[in-house]
Amino acid sequence: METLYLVLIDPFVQMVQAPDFFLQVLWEGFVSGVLYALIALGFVLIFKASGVLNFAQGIMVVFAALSLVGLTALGVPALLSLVLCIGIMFVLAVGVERMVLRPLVNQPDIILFMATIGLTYFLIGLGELIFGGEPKTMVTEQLLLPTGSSDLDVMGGFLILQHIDIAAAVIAIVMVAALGFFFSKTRIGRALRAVADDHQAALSVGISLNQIWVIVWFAAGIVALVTGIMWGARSDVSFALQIVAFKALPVIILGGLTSIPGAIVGGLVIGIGEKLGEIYWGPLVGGGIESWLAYIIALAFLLVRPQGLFGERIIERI
Amino acid sequence: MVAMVDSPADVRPDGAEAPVLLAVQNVSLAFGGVKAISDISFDIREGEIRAIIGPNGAGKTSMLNVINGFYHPQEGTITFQGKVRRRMRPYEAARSGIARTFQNVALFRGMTTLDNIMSGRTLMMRKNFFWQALRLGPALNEEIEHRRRVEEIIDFLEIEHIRKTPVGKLPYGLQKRVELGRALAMEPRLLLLDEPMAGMNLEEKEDMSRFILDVNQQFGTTIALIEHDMGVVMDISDRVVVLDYGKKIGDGPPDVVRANQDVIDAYLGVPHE
Repeated sequence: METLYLVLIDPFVQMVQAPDFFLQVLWEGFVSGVLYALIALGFVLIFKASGVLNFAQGIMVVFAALSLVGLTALGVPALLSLVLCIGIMFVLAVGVERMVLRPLVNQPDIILFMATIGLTYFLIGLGELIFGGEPKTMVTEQLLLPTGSSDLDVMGGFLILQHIDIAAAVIAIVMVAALGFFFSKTRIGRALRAVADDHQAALSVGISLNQIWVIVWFAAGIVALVTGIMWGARSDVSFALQIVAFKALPVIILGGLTSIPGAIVGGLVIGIGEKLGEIYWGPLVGGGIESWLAYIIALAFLLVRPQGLFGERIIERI
Repeated sequence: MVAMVDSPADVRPDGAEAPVLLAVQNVSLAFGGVKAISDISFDIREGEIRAIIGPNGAGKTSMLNVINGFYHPQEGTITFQGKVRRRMRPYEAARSGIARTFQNVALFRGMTTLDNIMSGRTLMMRKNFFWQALRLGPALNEEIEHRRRVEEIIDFLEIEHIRKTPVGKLPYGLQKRVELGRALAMEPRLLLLDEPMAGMNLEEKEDMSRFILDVNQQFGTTIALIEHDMGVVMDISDRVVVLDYGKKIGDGPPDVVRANQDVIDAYLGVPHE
């Protein structure tokens, strides 16, 4: 009885008793949710176009952020190094297409998945070789991103909003909306979906697989760069960041591997869910549930809706 | 039994010949030790309907795959619109005006009928990436213009009612029609149809035959088709090439081919005594 009260009633009593704190938790959850969504978007883009789960998305985030910090440390103005980093992500996309995807065309998806694991270790090695292994600080101010925080009076208490969080949320939302629009409403977007559906048919209408692959890997690289800047500004830039990318896995399971809106909703559900869980239910089991709650949510979801919230229903004709 | 009936014996009897649009010369294709096509030559003239027939495994689909660049033959050349190539590439084929459909419908299943047919216009949408990304100004006008052409094709194929339906949900006969629509959207010079009537009932076959003839006559599109229904083949095609075990065993107008003893043997079998 005691336990039931603690699990089912008490957390909600706490929420009502301290609404300002509840809002704070919601906000924190929202911000990390948006950032999860951003990482998930990188996975979704590549999965949509090639049916491959890109294991390397996490290390691409780290690599992009490290390049940005590294270039700035060499004395390059931060905004210029941002542009250079976009160039680096493009080179990476072309390189991956030439050296990984093209030789493996027509291989089963699992082979390509293995190749992305290989790519992960390659990038870890290359990153450590060039930039060293120690954590670095993101060049937040030089990139003209806001720092500091404001207090907001609400419901008899106050809400602390970190400016970088607000910026992260805004940038992520704009980015997700832009990419979603681009890939659903333009010729290239149609070509991308075409490639995902049927390689042969796509070739027959003159879509170049190679070009599409470069475009999606480049888009995923840009997403990685933005993610790297935002996560880097909140903590610091280190190889540990790539672990964060694995948080995107429950997000895409929840949202559906092929859906951009799914990545957003999934990100928010996971972000807010794990924060609320940690604060209100965590103490019951001694805390620390934030790191695994997301996977439990995803697992429960798989049982009910294997294609995710917005994933394409698999229609098989027998 | 391999009596190669080779050109120039198989010219059309009326003597009025259109220029050659596509010529396949001495093409051989092998997968490892399996010879799919051995030393085949034939041509397709502008404006004709050219049928490719033969028993299962004769190399018909391989031949289409060579023509639009999915397979690269080890020997021989492909001449399209006067340009001689050792091998075609799918992108080049599509660019130079070769469209095709597939034996087992290859549509973009997640997309609607409209989007599938729109994808056929990929190569004609040339406005640059920047405008595409913004979907403003020139790119938007372009999209509207292409959409208009696609609507014409939808009207032509009488599939208005399924415009917004995801094609994965459509019955097979309609999927075949959408696939034809996608190929037509490319405004091809040469249309390759791989068994356009396979698995259809009589009514659907008649519809499809009518569309093929209309495409040929109204748009002047040259058509090469693989088909197993001999009635249809003999009715609609101008010339027929017959393959068996990767070799050409007959070539000419339907009546001539029908009377060819090698062709009859290939289809009916020969007594072994």
